[in-house]
Amino acid sequence: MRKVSQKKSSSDELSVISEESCGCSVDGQSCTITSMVEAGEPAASDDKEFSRRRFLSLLGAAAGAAAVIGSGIELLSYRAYAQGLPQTNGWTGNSGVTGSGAATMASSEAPPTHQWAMVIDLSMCNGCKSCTAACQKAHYLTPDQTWIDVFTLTDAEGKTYPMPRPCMQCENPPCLHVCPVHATFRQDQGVVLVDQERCIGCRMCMAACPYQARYFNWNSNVQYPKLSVPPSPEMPVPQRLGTVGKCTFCVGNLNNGLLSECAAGCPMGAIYNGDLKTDVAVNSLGSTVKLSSFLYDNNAVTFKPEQNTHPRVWYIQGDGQDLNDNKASQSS
Amino acid sequence: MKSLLKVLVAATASAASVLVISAVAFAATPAQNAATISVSQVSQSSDNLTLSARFGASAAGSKVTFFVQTQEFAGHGWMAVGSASASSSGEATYTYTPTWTGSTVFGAAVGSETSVTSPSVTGSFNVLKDPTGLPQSVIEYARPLGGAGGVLVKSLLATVAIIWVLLLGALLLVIVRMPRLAGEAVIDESRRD
Amino acid sequence: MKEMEINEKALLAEDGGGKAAQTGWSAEVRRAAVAPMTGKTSTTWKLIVAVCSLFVLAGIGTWLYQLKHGLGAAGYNDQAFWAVYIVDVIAFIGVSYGGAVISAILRLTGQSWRAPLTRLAEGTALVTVAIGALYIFPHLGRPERFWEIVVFVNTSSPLFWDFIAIGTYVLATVIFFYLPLVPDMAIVNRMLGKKNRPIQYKVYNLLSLKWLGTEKQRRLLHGAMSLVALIIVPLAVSVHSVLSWAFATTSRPGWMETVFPPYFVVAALYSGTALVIVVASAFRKGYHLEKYIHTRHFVRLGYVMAAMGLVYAYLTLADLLSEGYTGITSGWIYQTVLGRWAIPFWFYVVVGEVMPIALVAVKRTRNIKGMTIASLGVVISLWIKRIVIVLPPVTQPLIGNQWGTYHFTWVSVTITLAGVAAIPLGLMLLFRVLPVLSIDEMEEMGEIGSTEQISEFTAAAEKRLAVGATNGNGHANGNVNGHSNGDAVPVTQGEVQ
Repeated sequence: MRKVSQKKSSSDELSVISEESCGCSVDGQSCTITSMVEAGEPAASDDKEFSRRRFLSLLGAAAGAAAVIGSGIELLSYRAYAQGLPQTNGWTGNSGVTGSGAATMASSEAPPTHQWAMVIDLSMCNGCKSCTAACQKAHYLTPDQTWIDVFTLTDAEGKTYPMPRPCMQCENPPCLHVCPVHATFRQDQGVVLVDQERCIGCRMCMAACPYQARYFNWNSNVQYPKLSVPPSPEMPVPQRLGTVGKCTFCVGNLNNGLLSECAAGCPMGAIYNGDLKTDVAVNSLGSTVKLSSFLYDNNAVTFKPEQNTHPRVWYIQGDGQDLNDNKASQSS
Repeated sequence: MKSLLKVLVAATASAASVLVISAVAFAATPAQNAATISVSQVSQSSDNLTLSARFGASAAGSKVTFFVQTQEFAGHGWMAVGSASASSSGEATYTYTPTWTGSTVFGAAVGSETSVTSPSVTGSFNVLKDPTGLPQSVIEYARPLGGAGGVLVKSLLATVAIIWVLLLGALLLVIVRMPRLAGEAVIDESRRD
Repeated sequence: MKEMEINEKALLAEDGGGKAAQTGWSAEVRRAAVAPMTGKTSTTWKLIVAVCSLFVLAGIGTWLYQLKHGLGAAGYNDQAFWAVYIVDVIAFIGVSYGGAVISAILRLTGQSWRAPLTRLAEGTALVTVAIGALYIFPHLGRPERFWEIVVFVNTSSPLFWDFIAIGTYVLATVIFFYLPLVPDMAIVNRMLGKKNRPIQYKVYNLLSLKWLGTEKQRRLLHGAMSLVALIIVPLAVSVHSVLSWAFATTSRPGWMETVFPPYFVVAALYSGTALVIVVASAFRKGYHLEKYIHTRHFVRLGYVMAAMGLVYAYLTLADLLSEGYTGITSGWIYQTVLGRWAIPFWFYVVVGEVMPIALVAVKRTRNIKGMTIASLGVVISLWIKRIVIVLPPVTQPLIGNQWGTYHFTWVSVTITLAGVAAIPLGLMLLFRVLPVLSIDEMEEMGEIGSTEQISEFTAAAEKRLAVGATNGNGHANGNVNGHSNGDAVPVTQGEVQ
């Protein structure tokens, strides 16, 4: 335990120092990436920590589940996320429950210090698909597995514009409600993850997702590299045949003070990683904005609000762009 | 902490140079270049913070933008949190609701939020409490009849249970009763004989 | 299987059966029902069983191949993530409801003419529900984790309720099939004796619960059967509704339809009635049941089927019209009616609605052949209709305008054909060990209730009894279907063709 925390704090310092010494944010990132991989290993073997977390989570879940829609026997469903990935936050309660933030707050002494979100500035996006490429490279995806995909929509003038679509990390995720085995769960920072070790491959979640954000591992002929950490919901490499996958929001990166792969890979700075708790959003160009004012000032919208999914991804639209225009999203 | 100090020193140094330039431009009283920022709790009952920055009389009436240094997402960048007009004495105050705890670096600069991107003065403050909960959107999502979920599930499961009991009960009754009835019939016949 | 002889003494009902049971007609029924269980099987029978087994084995082998190579081998992709196998689940469980509900409703309403059909209908229900439930396994990407549904229960998932619903329905179908078998197994044991079938004898002895046919036993059995029949009707309706909600609880245009539960239920009854007609037609011919299953039976079932067909056509229109009219989310409707799914859709309209209803409506075709052709059309086109219900909404783009595609591959086709072949195979094997007619029920209803051509058959049966079972030739009277009674070989050699 102590050893782990020491190592973690040292890596934190390392990242600060390196950032300072480099002075350039891009260099700083590359430095901290290596430090993250180092920090990843000790946490993986920490079983005691894992079971304690699990216990705490169950307690938290017990209090929270009462408020949950159709709660049933959901407590059984819990499976600790992030076995194998480092966590910079101390608080690890209440993972994997459909429960709302209210339940989280009420049931735990230490609330989550982050609530991850994303802002995509459509007026900045040039449709280069660098985000898709960066994501696929980092997560060893096949070309048709798109955690973030760039669609082409039509604006009011009839001109097309690119529209990147990651997983929306809905606060009311339909995929989570329909999963018969709780393989999809929502961790305490609001990120919806898939446990490929549990998924039975029924694809009900793909049917329920209004954003086409999920894909399936259809074929067995995919080659994966061997990583030092075992596959986890946050980093499902290698992926399991016959299970569902989707964007993980690079929650490991975010917890290590890094941008997600797509945001870091965007040359236009169109993708902001945000934190609803601290009200901060940052893009790859280093511009830091106050998330709430940024959304408000730019009339940010969510995609398909009528679905009542409450996405954690907001879009800023340019002139004439209308994300929720039916003509664009539905055609004959 | 050591690294933090380094940042502070660097920031103040750049702030000084900015101030020198402004002093030349305005040709105002040169003695007052000790711009400061101070942070204090609004009151005993409130966890909000009062950020106040003094830029001297030269800044009187102009917009002052306040910054906070983020600790997330690699950049460690300056986030403008809001702005206020400086008083005649060149002092501007802004009430800020902290969103995280711990040692935090605050800053301020003369200029509107769109014109300045980093502070000219900085100071650090150890935030002990942040009064923010989760944003409203995190807490609230409603589904029609959502609250009925638990009751619905229980009553459905009860219905299923009743059906199983009826089906298996009918089967069990036949299995148990039927041979007995046969036995009775045999006894009847033997009596008849 | 070794040859078995029928105990001539057991041909007459012992007691309890209706008055008609004491006549020679009862003996005929018993012979016909038990004949497939005795003796050698014909070459045709063996051939059909062999071919069907081959198909089933090929299907299982292909499934293993699919397990190894992934569902992509079956033509699935991210924009066609539900396709053939879920259609198979719906279609097979659907036809099962038809058998069960037809049998249950006729039982509850006291339709005595049902008696020769019930065993066939219930057997079809049992076999098809088993096949349909098994199709869940090729549908899943990780079938070996199926047990997790029971352990990690999520009551808010439609699939959990699907699991509950199908499980309950299977239980009800098994009980509904077993209860009328209680007296029949006693009769079979009495007829075939212990010789050459010791194990079967023991099992049947156990399962027949010392049935003697006393008044009290009869009352008990009838009470239980009525209760199960009463449960199975609403159960079948609710179960297929739950299946439809696996689609209708998603926000996908084309699936999120209020019409879906009745849409699915009626489709199930429509195709189920049709399959009962097909099965009855096949077994009537193959198992020499012409004396018991008549044109009237087919016509009556045909009426039920046509009624269901009209309701289904109405629901199809209701499904398409409102969304198509407003045009809000009508991309899938265009693709269904005029676009890439137009050919299967209009195939359903012509072969699955117009043709069968016309065949029922026109008096000239209102016969066994006509009904059989109509039913075959319904069964096939309703499978295709399910494809049309599933695929256009699933392949529609929810963002942008890239439509997905689904291509049938040899994997999905082989696995589906295995299920189709498993129906005759399952039924033929089932009626190799169980009587193909519900003997006791037919005796209870009596000859008048169970048959239509009363006078002809009474005459024929009486004459037959007088001549004796050993005399095979001589008369060809009174059979409306042109099948000579004399063709029936002595049951001691009882062949199944």
